[in-house]
Amino acid sequence: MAKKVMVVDDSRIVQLQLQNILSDTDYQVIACCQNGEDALKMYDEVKPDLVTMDILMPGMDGLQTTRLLLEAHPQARVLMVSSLAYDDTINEANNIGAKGFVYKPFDKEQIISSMDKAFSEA
Amino acid sequence: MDFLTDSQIKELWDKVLKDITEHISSIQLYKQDDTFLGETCTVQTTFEGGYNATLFLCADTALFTRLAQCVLQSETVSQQDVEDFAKEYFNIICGHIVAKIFQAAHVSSRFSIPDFCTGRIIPEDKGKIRFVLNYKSNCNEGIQLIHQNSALEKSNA
Repeated sequence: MAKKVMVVDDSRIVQLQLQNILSDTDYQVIACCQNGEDALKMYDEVKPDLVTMDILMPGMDGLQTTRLLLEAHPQARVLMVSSLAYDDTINEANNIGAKGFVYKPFDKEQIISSMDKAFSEA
Repeated sequence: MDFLTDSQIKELWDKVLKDITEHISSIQLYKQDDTFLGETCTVQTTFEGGYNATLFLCADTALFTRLAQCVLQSETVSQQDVEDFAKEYFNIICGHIVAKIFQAAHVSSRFSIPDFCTGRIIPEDKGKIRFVLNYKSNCNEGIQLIHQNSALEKSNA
């Protein structure tokens, strides 16, 4: 059975890209949110196995969303997917409890391998 | 912005723009002295924090369309796809710029979510333009980056 993925990214292109990339894998995109507020609301509804989280979004950013999500659901698996790939951001994401960091632009192999890793570390 | 010279900032933008474009599409950009654009669109953002600037990326719509087709792996892309792609493309480029500036100078910056508009947007105050980079693709599509000093930086200068 495919693992359920919720994509949190304000870009419709990234949402489409991830749906395409994951379509023939063990992962399936079951929900997409364009901002952190919606993600927090939708998490309970869809109960995903993994969340991909952008950082720069309108309203609450991805780091704050991840912080709040993990406070409410410590078992949640969050994979950061962002172009803001530098030490401060990566360290903050790790400290909050994100399971990994994928740099944009990503390719299929990077995404799948980071998702697999997020599950193997659980 | 004295943590990086004009030449270093220009080099940074040049490298990131070319590298990201090639990474997502295998399309190579070649530097030109000037770029003559056809039907165009523009994405724009403003950086704040340590790095203060307003950036305009104007390109032939045909280039953004071809890039969107590569990313979405589809021959058919809508006008909305092209607009959304252009914003995400510039968003990625700007994210890499922020990361590279931090690595080079330990200066934190942030940028606004890019705005999109059809046509070629040229800054009103040309006196603030720091540099312009012009490119052509292998299919002769043009792309131009205009780097404008922000009001904040001007007042700090």
